[in-house]
Amino acid sequence: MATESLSGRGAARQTRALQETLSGRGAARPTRALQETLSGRGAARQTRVLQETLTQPISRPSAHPLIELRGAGVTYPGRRSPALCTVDLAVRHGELVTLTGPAGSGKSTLLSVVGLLLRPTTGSYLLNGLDVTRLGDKDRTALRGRVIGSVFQRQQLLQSRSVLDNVMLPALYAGLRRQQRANVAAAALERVGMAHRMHALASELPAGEQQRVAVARAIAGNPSLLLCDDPTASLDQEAAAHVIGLLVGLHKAGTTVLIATRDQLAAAHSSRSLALGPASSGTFAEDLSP
Amino acid sequence: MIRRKISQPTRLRPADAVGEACTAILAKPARALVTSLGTLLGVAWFVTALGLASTAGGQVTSDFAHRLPTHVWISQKRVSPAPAAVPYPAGLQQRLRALHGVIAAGVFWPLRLGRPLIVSARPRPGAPGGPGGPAGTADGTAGNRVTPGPGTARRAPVIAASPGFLAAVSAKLGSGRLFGAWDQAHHAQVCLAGAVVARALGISDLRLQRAVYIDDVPCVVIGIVSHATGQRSILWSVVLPSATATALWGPPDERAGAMPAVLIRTRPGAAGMVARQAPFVISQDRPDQVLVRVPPGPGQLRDQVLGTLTSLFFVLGWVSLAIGTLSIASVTWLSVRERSAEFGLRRAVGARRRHILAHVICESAILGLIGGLAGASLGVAVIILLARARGWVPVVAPLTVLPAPLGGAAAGMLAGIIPAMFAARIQPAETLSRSLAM
Repeated sequence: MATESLSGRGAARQTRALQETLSGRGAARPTRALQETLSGRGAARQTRVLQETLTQPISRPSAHPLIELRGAGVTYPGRRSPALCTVDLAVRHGELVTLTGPAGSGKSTLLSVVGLLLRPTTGSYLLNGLDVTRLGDKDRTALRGRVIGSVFQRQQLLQSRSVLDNVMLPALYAGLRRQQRANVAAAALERVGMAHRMHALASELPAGEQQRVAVARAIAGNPSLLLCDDPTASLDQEAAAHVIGLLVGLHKAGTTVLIATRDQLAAAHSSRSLALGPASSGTFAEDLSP
Repeated sequence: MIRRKISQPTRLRPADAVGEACTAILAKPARALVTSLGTLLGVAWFVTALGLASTAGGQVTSDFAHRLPTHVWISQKRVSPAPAAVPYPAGLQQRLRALHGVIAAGVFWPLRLGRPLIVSARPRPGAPGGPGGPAGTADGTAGNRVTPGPGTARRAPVIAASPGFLAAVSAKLGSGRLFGAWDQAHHAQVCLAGAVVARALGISDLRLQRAVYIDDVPCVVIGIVSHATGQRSILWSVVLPSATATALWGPPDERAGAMPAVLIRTRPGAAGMVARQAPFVISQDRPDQVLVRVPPGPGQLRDQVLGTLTSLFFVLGWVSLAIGTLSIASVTWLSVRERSAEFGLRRAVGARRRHILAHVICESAILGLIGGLAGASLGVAVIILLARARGWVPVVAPLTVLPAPLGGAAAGMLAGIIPAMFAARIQPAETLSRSLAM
């Protein structure tokens, strides 16, 4: 979609570079081409917009929504029916949005697309105005590691490792030294109230505490966007309330939060609540926000 | 901000990759043990095979050393025109023994008597000669003849020899004593009977002062030779001191075929060198006139056996290492499949494909290194135990043992490549719905 619009405007070299970037050929090449594209040379309006957008801190108000899905859909290879089809969604900076919907409606698939774990097979995904649909794996991994924090449906902790080790995991791939990683992880555990258990094995923790550790891992890198896939699914009411309170607190601190949940408590605290219809319906359901 | 973050791809420090691999290994020691077992056994067998090759090689060399020629025969190429003194310099035995590797040396020749030689245990009174028995000996060395008489008579060759010859053939006595320097100096009419001759003549008890008549010349049998090497013909001969023989019958007549020769006994493996040096000891001015004979040794056969053994064990060693590599590869493959959720998680939180690749290969290489260390130790222990059980000397070349752990690490690294590629291709979205085992 973006490539078509750019080529139509006849932007010469910069446009070609952006096209190459978006075609996703190679890992280093897109980055280089993207940097060239964003260097300010050329007159394409889209390029200018991208350039302006990307030089702004992502957490600050922007002309672009932080998340923008344009007809994004996912069909897994070998399957006829889509797991997610033609979703149009925009989430602005600083919002706390809950996604609700029945099982199989594609909530987790949608979060995987937004979390750059999955590429949409149709449509496009713009992150803060940048079309990340066809970015190379290296760039998508960089965004995943540095911009997005994810809390998965299951806690997904390394059970035989300590709480601290688990929270340090994203920082490992940020190239930080061990002491720096430990500091970052300790601070994150402090924020979720789990600093006192940092040396315990993950397997020793109850489910509620494991989920708080998973939140700490997600926020350790100070992400601009926090994605939570049914974070209270396996928790009792008290633990669920604790985790929702935690996420609300993070939202109030400025983090954009997108939660896929069936928990009414989470929906009650959200800026907006969006209902996702069955995948077969092919449309995005209504905005349930008051 | 996004641009800046894109331009800073995630990265994994090498030390952290090793650290993560070590932590993962320590977190699941049982799995690590099973994974490294293949390398352990492969390297252990590799080291054992090479160690056994060198140990067996040493043993083969030792066994063959006992079969190496230890005797050298020396004679003159040209026959002297007339009977003369023994054509070897005085003090030859001492000079030859001064050569490195020589144990004993002595001169000997067969006696070629003009008249039939009669050997009888008990002489017939006043019977010099007499009506003949069958003429000539079986080997045709002399026209010896045994005169029938009251005692037992047999035909047998007679050898004149120096005491050094008796040492050179390692003569072992059934009874009695050998003749020596005193007998030589006094031309004592004594002789040694070979065990076969003694049995034929009915000589068994030397306390009876048994004598034999050689060409009617009486000689006291002072010893019965029961065993000899190098010149086993003395077992069916009668041996006289060379000085006595010369005094009685004159110097050896080379024209009659009584060619004097020198027999040298050497240490195993020294025969070749002694054969090259001895002609110069005997005749410094004309060493080319000396004929030297050394029986062919089993050196070539030994080299062939050693080569076959070594190549066999080498092949076995490499095959075992390959099996170990396949083993670690299969266990690593299973481990990676089991841990796909973990690798999916790592990918989800910022690990690039190459980071997962490095992680798995590091783990595999470290397990290979551990297996290599343990395998090398086990291999050395097995070699020592086997060698001790067989009474062999264990021979382990440092070049086969010391690089073995590195070989294990290399095997582990090689084995980890395909599982690592599989792990690197794991899609996080597909695996995050599974529970993490680790």
